Amino acid sequence: MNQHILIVDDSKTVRNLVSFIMKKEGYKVTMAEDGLDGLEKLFSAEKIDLIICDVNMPRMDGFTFIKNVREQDTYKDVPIIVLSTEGRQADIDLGIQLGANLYMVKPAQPEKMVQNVKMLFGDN
Amino acid sequence: MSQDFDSEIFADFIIESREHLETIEPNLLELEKAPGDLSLVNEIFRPMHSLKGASGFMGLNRMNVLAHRAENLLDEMRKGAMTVNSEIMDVILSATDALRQMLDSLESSGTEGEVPTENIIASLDAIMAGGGAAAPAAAPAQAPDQPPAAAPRLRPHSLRRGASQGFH
Repeated sequence: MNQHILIVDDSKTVRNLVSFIMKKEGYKVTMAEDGLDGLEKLFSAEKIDLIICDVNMPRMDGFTFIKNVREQDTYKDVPIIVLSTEGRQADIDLGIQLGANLYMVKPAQPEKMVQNVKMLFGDN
Repeated sequence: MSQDFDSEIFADFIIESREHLETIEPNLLELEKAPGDLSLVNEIFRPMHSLKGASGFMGLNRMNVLAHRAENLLDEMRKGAMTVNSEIMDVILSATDALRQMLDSLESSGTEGEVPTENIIASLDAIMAGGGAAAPAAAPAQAPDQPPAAAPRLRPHSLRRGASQGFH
């Protein structure tokens, strides 16, 4: 079965593009508009194998989302990639401290995104 | 990244970006009436931030640079380091106008086109540097023997018309 990626970003353009890139690699994709929607999708969609999430989002930001994800038994170890325009070291440190596995700054190269996803899946 | 995404993504980008601009402009006009309202600043910052992020992802560098510079100024306002004034209003409205023109160009020709942004960026940079706005960002050329325009400063156009209808 295809591995399943949850993309959480308030920009439809970013969701569409990341989804396009990941689907081309054969991954199944679910999209969410913000952290709260992301949490809902985690528990309503088929099991998620990896999360790509933004930081600056309405309703629930990416950091709060990650913290909530890590508190769930089912998802305490799910790989998380932060994909944010916020590239300050303090943001990167906070993201990693809260449990993100990788922090990428937008706009990220599609090849690098795919490479990182494969690395976290142990596929390369 | 602009080489191989499909036309649906491109069309969605244009729709989403226009929605962002439509959120920015009325909030900016409200902010002029309530300069201390940080929630209004946030309502302007967020769509500009999203526009910057999305255009960067689409490989649209001119839009990205302009949105990024405008976002920097809005971020200063968000942090309370600057308060909105007529110069800031003008330059942000000029930036949104230019971004809209680039979207129009993208829709009609598939490129950002030749919309001039240098003066707007110079004005944004001048305000950020604390030196006030540079020359009006997109002032129309005016023959010397013509009377001065009714408004002393350029106000981007359709919006100002909307403002005078809506708020006076």
